[in-house]
Amino acid sequence: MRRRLGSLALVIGLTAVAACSTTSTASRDALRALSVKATTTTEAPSPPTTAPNCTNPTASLRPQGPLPGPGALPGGSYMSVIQQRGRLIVGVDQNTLLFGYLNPASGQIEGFDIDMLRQVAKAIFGDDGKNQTTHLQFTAISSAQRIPFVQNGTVDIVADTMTINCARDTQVSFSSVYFNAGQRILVRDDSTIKSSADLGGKRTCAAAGSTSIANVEDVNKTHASAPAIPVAVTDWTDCLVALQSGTIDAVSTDDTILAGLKAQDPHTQIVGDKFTQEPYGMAMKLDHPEFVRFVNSVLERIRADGTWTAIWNRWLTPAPAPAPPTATYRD
Amino acid sequence: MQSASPPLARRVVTWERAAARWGSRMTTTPGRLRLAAGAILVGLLVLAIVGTGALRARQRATTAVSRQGGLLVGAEVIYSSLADADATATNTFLTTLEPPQRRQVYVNDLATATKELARVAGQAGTSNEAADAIAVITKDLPTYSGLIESARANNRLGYPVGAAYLREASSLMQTEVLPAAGQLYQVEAGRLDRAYNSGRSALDPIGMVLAAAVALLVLAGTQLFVARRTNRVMNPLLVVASILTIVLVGWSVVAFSFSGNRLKEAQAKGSDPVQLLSSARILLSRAQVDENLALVARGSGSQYLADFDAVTAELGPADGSSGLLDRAQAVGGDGLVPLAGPGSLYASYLKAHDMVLKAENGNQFATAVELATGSSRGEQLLAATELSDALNTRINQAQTVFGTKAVAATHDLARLSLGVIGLLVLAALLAFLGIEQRINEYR
Repeated sequence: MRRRLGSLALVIGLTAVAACSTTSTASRDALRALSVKATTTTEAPSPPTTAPNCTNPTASLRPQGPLPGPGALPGGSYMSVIQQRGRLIVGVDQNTLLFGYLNPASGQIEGFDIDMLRQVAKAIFGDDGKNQTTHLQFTAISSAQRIPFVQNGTVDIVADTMTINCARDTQVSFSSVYFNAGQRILVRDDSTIKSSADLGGKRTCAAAGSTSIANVEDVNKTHASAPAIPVAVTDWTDCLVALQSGTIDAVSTDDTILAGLKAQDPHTQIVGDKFTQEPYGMAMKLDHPEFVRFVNSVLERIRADGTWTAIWNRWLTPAPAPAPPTATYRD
Repeated sequence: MQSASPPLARRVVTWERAAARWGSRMTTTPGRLRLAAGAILVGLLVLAIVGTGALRARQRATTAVSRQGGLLVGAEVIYSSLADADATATNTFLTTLEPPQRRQVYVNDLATATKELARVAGQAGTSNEAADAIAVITKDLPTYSGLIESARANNRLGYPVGAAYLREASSLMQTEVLPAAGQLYQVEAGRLDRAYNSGRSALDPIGMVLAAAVALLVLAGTQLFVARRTNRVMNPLLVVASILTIVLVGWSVVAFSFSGNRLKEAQAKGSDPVQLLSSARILLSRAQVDENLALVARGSGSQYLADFDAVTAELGPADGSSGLLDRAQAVGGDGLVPLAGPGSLYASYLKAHDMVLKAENGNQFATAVELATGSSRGEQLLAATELSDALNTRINQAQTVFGTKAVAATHDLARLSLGVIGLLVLAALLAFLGIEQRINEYR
């Protein structure tokens, strides 16, 4: 009897040990699968180095000779590479009303910057009526992506309210100036901020990687009051979200961008004078000087034939169109 | 009044007598038999206590498995309907005018999530981790839906700030709400796992067998004593009592191992497939969000495409040779639509995704959006929806298997718990009668 009981206990003990296999592999694997992460390598853009003798960054490469027609693009030039590819790949903003934005009603990206790029595409491919759809390939980028996307060749050209300055001039090659903007301030109607002098101690929003955020930091140097608190976001519309939810006190950037934000919220206003000068240029890779000269030729033509003014009127009325910005060149 | 207690001398005499009686009991056969009867009763009582204790511990564990299974599914439904709501919201944003049926899908997803949240919160018990996760979800979900409504309103007005609200909403969902839902899911999965382990713990039946061994030894010892003292080979009633005790042990061992095996099956054919399929469905929703955000980012969404690749790598290749879908398929659900493999729903989903990518890379953005949001055959949204539905069907099936097995496990034990009491009372009665018979022979 005792022996039988002993062996019975032994059998039960062994089964018990076998049953104690804790977590099932299926359950463990199912949970592990949920924590999957993509291994992304983010390339840090090369740090900007101001050219030692940069005095006039807006001086761009001088156009050489008259603008060649679509049928006469110099062989081996970057323009002919684009022409053979069949489309110009452009880096644009899709969040800046009036300059580059995705129109939710049409599903198209539109704006002043986009029309500038259409003129470049038209010069490369001719006016075959296809420019709207086939010859432009849009890549929507954030402010911080503008320089790396040009540098690594993801896009051929960027037109995205981009200020020409000495630091950027060593990283990309700018066209001549196609628009003159200046930094101002957008606040809610009930704000006490009236000018950049009032930004001390205020949370002030601008896009990361923009000149505006650097200018907000510089406001502190010109005004002895408490420093402004810069709040960096990805896109300009993120600033408007923050302003509407009350997590920031002001948005400070180019008057052009602010006008687009104000148009989306009637309870905001643009205050103060322009406290910076922001000349816009289109950015291209340093390796393609012939492309920069070509784009400058295109700009020369649209300044002269009234196209520039027509584009202004299309987007920026009721403000009267000023004279197109004057180009300065180096050889 | 006289004192109620007897004088001291009388009391001493009484004590001496009692001691003498006790001594005579120990030395006389009837006395020893009475003692043996007492020992048998104590032994059987210990067996009853240990047995019912072990049984109740096991029953609690088995019931916990049932309940935890329900909570795990609840946590999964919360997670996947929230992920699905975000996928729908981001997908709808790509279309110029929000289709009412897509809006309804979004609203239903949120309703399902909040309903399950209330149910799980009511049963989550004392776990702080689960309570924390539920607190995060209940705090952030109204903010999320508020941001989505702002996005819609601005979108209707043609304002690009609508896209910023959508990004804000989706980022809140992806970085706060879904991780909390994932935590809740992990907590419930961990608790189910512990319930399984205690439901299959060997300590309960071992304790019961040991107690039974002691009781049987006492019974056997008494038998030997009776046989020696009375020169009778066997006392039939004591023999029957022993047999009943052995039957009880046998039944217990069988019932415990049956319920343990049912739990094993509930895990292997129920909760394991539910977990594999749930993870697959959650990852599918994440892949959809990635696709949508990549299109919204229009050319600069390489991080979303990288995440899509990582997620689909977990799901497995289209041929179904490995990965989560292949494993989920292998654990059951015969006769259902195949998930992975050539011509499967997953294969056509990946094919639809490639078409979207091809269109987008070929500068056919409008076509890409149409393919991504279209619900015609071969288009991405339909393929994803069909795959998601197929996963749901399998989840429901596996859940039914789980429920049936878990309930059967509790039934095994419920019958035993009645049996333990009945058999032990009977055994005790028989043993007592058997000894009484012998004692009576000495009168």
